[in-house]
Amino acid sequence: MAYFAVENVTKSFGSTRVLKGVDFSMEKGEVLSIIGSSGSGKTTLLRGINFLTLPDTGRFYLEDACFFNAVKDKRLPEREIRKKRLHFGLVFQSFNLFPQYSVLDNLCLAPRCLAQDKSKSAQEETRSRAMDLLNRVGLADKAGNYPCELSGGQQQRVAIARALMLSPKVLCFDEPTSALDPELTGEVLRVLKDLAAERITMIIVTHEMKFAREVSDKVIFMADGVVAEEGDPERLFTDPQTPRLKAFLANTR
Amino acid sequence: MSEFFASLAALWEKVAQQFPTVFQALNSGFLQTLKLFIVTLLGALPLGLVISFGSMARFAPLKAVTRFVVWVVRGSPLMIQLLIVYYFPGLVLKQNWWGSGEEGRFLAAAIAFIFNYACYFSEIYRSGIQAVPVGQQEAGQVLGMTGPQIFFRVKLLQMIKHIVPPMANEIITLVKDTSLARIIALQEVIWAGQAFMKGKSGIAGEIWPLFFTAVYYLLFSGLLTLLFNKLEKKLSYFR
Repeated sequence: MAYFAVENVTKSFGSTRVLKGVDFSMEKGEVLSIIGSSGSGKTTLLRGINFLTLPDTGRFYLEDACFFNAVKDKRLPEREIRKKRLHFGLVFQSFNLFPQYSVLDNLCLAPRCLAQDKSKSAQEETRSRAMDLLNRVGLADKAGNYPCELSGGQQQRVAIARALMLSPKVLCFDEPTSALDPELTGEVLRVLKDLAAERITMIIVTHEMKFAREVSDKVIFMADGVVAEEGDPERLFTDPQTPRLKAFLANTR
Repeated sequence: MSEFFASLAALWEKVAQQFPTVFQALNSGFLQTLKLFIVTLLGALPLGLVISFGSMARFAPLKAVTRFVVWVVRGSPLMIQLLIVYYFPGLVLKQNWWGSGEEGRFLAAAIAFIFNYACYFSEIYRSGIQAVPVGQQEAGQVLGMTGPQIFFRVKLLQMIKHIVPPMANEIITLVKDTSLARIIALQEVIWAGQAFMKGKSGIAGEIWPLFFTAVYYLLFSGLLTLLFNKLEKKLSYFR
């Protein structure tokens, strides 16, 4: 019994088939890393899981209950999609913080928009939860700053805290360090490691092979719109079975 | 040289003597200028938004027609547009839509100005809307916010920030463009200044009141510049 699973996810843009039937599953508290070259469909898969681009076919399961069937739910009203989306969080490559809001307000905006309870005590609770999370990513002292006053690494840590505010069941990362200077990737990866240690269920699309190997419970290698190889990170990195993964790893070293 | 200073002194004396009469006439002319300015803004700011939605429409014919109209209006002189709006009904359709008074002229001028400026504004709105990165929309979406929440609480202020500088430019141009309404004899400040050339209130053959109208435009556009600078500064806390 898997905590989260996707089954036969396909997606085409025009005549280009980007995802050709992707399956995977993961347990609660696991970290799943997705590796693969550009254009292999990693990002499209992640965007599909977060309902930013709806897959053409495919089913999503949470604790073995199918809660999304792309073929059937294609015409679902935005309101329903929004509910399903809340099972997941997504941290973007380019952070996408809201520039006009302070760090604290970046964290509080969505929870306050979603809250049924608009009372002062509820607002205060949101605020204190936000401060807790900022503490966890080591940025409590930046709560009053604006995103443009932070470094890329700090912005990404804020974005992670913002995603955690809604306590998603599965937190997804789309190349979280690709837009950062090399010297700034470390602080973001450290936060990810902390989250992994806290058993937060995560899917991470990444090009940081060393990191994927250290942190992941499971690694998926995508190529040409399918899962070409998957398994335990040690095995995958030391003993690749498919020629494609062998070639990919040879090129990334 | 002394002759020059003598004539300057004479001019000064004359101006000082005529000033109260001229000032009063120019003020009431400028009131009409101001009215046209404000009515144009009130009409063109919302209409421009509507037009910008048309020019971004997914329905191709609507998009094509809107963009064609915007091209025609932006690509031809406002003065011609004023003349067409004012004279077309009477001279071509033989319909007296505008009557013969100042109110009719104002109405015709306002319609031409509103439509012309709405087309310019629509392009500014369009650039502002398209300048907000799609990542902002997506970040709001994955955080479970609704479409209106994303628009009003995330994107709107960013759009406004993008729009303010070009909008300020266009609005300051409008201040001076109102003088084009002179071509259909709207009694705005230029018209009021010119009246003293033909003769008015016992003053005739004087051109200085016409030259002096520039001061009104200068002061008003200066005031607007200060206001817009303030607004820009207010929005400069984020990038």
